[in-house]
Amino acid sequence: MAIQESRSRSDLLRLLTEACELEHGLACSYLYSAMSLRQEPVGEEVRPEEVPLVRQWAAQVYFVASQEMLHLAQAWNLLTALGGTPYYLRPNFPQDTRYYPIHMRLALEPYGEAALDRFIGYEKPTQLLEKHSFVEEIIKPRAADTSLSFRTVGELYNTIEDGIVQLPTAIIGDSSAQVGPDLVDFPDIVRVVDVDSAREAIHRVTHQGEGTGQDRDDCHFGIFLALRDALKHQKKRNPRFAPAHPTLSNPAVDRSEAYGASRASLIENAYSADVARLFDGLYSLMLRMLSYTFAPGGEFDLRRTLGQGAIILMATVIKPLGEALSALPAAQNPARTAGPPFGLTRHVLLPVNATTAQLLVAERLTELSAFSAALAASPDAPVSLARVAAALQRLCNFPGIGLASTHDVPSVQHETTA
Amino acid sequence: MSKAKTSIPAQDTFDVVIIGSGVAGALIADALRDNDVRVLLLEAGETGVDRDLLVWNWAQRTIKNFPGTPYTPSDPKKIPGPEQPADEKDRKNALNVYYDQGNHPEKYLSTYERRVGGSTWHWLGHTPRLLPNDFRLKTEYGRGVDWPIGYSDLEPWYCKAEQALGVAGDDAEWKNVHGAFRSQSFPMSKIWPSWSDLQAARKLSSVQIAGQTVAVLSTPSARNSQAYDGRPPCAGNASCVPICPIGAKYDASVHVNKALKKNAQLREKCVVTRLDVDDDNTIHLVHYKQWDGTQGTVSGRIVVLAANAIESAKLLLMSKSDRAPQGVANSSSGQVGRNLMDHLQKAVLATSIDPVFPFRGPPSTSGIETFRDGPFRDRRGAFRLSLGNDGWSRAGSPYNDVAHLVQAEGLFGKELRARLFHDVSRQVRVSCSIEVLPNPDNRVTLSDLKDASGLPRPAINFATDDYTRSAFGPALDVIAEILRALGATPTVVDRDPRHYSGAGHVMGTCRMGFDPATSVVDPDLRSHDHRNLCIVGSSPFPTCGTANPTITIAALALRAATNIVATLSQFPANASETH
Amino acid sequence: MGESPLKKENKKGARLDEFLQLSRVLAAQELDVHLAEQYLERVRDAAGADLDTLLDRFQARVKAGDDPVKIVKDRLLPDPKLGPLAKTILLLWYIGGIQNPGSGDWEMTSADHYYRALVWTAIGAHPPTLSNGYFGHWKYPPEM
Repeated sequence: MAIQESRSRSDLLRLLTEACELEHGLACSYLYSAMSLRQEPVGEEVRPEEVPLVRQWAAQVYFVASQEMLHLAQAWNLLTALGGTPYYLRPNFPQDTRYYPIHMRLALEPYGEAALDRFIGYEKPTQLLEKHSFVEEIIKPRAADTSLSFRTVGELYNTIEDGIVQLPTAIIGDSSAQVGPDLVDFPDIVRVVDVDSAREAIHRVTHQGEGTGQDRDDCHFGIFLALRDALKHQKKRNPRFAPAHPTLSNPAVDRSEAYGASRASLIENAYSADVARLFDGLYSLMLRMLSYTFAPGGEFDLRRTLGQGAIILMATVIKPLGEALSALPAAQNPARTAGPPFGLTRHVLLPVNATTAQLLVAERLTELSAFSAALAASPDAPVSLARVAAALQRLCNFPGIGLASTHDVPSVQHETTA
Repeated sequence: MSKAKTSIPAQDTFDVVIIGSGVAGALIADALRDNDVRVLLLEAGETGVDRDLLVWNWAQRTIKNFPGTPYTPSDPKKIPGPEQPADEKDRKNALNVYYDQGNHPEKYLSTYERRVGGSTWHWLGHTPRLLPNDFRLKTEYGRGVDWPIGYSDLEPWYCKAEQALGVAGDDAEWKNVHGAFRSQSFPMSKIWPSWSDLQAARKLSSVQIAGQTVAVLSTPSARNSQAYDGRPPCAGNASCVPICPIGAKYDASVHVNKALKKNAQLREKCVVTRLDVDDDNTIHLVHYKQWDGTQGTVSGRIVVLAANAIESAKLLLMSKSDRAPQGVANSSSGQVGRNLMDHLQKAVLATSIDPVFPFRGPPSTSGIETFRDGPFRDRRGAFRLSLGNDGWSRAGSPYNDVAHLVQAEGLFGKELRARLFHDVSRQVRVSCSIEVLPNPDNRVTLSDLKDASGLPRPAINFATDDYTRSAFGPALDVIAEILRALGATPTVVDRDPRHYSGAGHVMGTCRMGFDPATSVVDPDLRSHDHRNLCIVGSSPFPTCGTANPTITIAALALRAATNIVATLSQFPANASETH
Repeated sequence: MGESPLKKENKKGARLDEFLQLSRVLAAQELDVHLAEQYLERVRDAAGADLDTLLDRFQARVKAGDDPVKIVKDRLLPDPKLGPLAKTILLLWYIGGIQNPGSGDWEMTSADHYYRALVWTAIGAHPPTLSNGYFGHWKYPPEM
């Protein structure tokens, strides 16, 4: 049972940061596996008629990942409503299983039965815990520890909800800091302005994750169960079926940068390592842009611009880059491919001052754009790198983001790299 | 044939026989099973192969055109409907080898799918509701007729239908469009508008069109924006017409399967040929012919006709007898088969000044509802506008673009790719869809020509009137203004109101009304002439507004199901239904 | 005695390289070898010995040191017989089909060719029924 300790605001903020770490870690875990899925037929491992199936699975996992990102964003709204600020840090991969009270091995693995088993475990509804004897896997609450325990993500949120309800004057954050769909492309995000909306936000999150009684099919738990069945079914039909690239597990570029992940697998191929660096740089920038949107005190227009920009960065640059990395070699030995490291490296949050924040973003985008162009020009470059570089270049010209964009550009300029 | 003379075995005796497994029949079958009613679905088409195989077959069709069709029958003995196009030489006179349209100057241009699940297999998925004034065109504008029910009567059923199908829409945008209030939220948040839509919305927000501000609204659709009812969210496969490869778009096989899981019975490949009228004017016996030629008869305490507006009318007319000399359900009014309607459409293709990246996402995600109602409706038809995400696919893009650049201009290499992207990425489409008034001369009758199984083909007479024709001009003017505001240059625009395409919205032919002298069914969709015959689908529509009909069909069907359950006890199992 | 199988194999192999080389110039991008093998066969079926003539002409100029792009532009495309064949090859890569000159219909032979046609990525889209995308991706500019 979760320890029923009385929860102060500080406790709740800490619990919410734990929720943030989990949602963030889940999102990366799901994204990694979706990015590892192949895009084209490969001999008997992916026959031409199996390609649509593999792409459908990728679409489903991307969808779940997008909902985890929504959950992270929702947790940020909850944080600011309680008087806190958005939190995007998390341990790098592979994570220590003892880092959370639950037995949750967050890791980056290519798509497969093992990965799906883990995903099903992450999303397991609390009510089903007793039915399956996972009790032995659950770390008993640390009696002497003041930290608060939970057995599932759902239970963590329940604990947070209880805490909010019990805390006098829980909601003290400036409601204008709350992020709604007008600021960022999360259509179902709830602006948390009182206890009711806080509970609504939490219910939406747990409903999407573990579902409720009758409704299991459509929640993440149900989706992953169905995906695992489908994979098993296809393997029976085609014993050599291998829908994912053989990526490393928990790749990393540089141990000194990726703090906390001592057991990561280094990407040794020099070119792939550079592309992975680009990935990590973009990923970090995206999080910092999104943090500005969700943090209290920022200037409204820039919050919206960076919010839109972050999503476009994710959709048009980071995603295809991750997919490209899943096909690039990890080392001289061609047995394994690299995979996107999602390495969180040290960096600062963007300052509240809009002019400075915009300058930092513009400079960094330009820098990464030049890096991507150089990588795309390399003889080792896969075809997709050119598209990524072009998309990044376009983002530099996005109204309100680029260095030279103090005026309203009526339309986005698009060029091919023909 | 009177009841006493027939003896139908128990296995062919049902509480309710539903003719047609499209969206109306499927929803009713499912709802009736929830009430423990013994149900038979009789379907003229087949279940066919799995969705995956349908898609693969379509992808490897030896002749590729868009949208094409994946629904080639797996059984060669199919008794076909209108799916087979006319020969090249007959194309001018006939849409397909099934309709008999003689030498009429205008042709009825819409067809349907004969298969389990019906036309929802290939529909686009749009579910805007009819507007309040659509139900009272006569009272408001002195045109057409009024429905015997109003928007408020149907509104709760619209909500239930949206839950059943899984409709994605934006509550704020659709709160009160032309007075169409909503008492419940959409089950899912909207299908995201396309990049192209967003640019259009931005540009239109600062101008006036035809003297008004126009809003670009996301179109409510039976298309998942999240996992719903065990089906995945839309992944933008851009092939809604003719098929959704993942089932994110609703099709009626969903409710057929739900009904089957609840032990409804389905008999496929059964073309119903005749309904018998009993002494007391009830309909119990339903005769059918299977694809392999075998004949069969079933009996229902209540019979539901859900075969689409052309086939339902045809069946009623084929069932002429002494007791029903003008055909079943046609004695009081003579209106069966009359008042056939469609929405008439024109598409304007244009070139945008900036790339808008078509061929991505559902073929249309937004529209303009502004002109669907207004004082002008006393003179001319209303129209709905939709923004296309499918470029100039109606003109053969992108294949034709590549072919032209290569063959005519001799381009290749980088230049070809750059030009191809430049040209196609700027393709836009805006379409108008115009309402049609009921006209007793627009009708389905029985042709002397027979189909492959010996049944009469439908003879269709259809012509537009001034009301509809005079709407094309204003619609095209509005589109021209919109394109100007978007900075898009139209290609050649055909303004001839005789040239249009059908929307695939087959409506009318068994209209609802209070008066048996002028309508076929009452406000509860029961035939005025036969108390236990219920006619659903879009056949009962007295007028058609400018809304895609499916959600209205679904709302009426769910409402009818409730009535059927409530009235079933009035029609006890009788002597003819014993073994 | 006919050609030894080995020689035939070599002959096929050699032409594949040449076909691929010409195709690369026509399409100006990297192309899949397996797909090239299948397309080579389709073109052979459609054009027979004309294909050899085309490849011979192309190779001869390549060996002479001409720029491949110029060869296509100045020597192949303007030729009344080789030009249309070169265009047929290019369109096969772009569309996955060969156009019937009478009906204008595109004749395909496999779903794989339909899906891997170059036209879709060239326009920043995807073949209908295989989006490779996720919900909402159409709201953003394409990954290109």
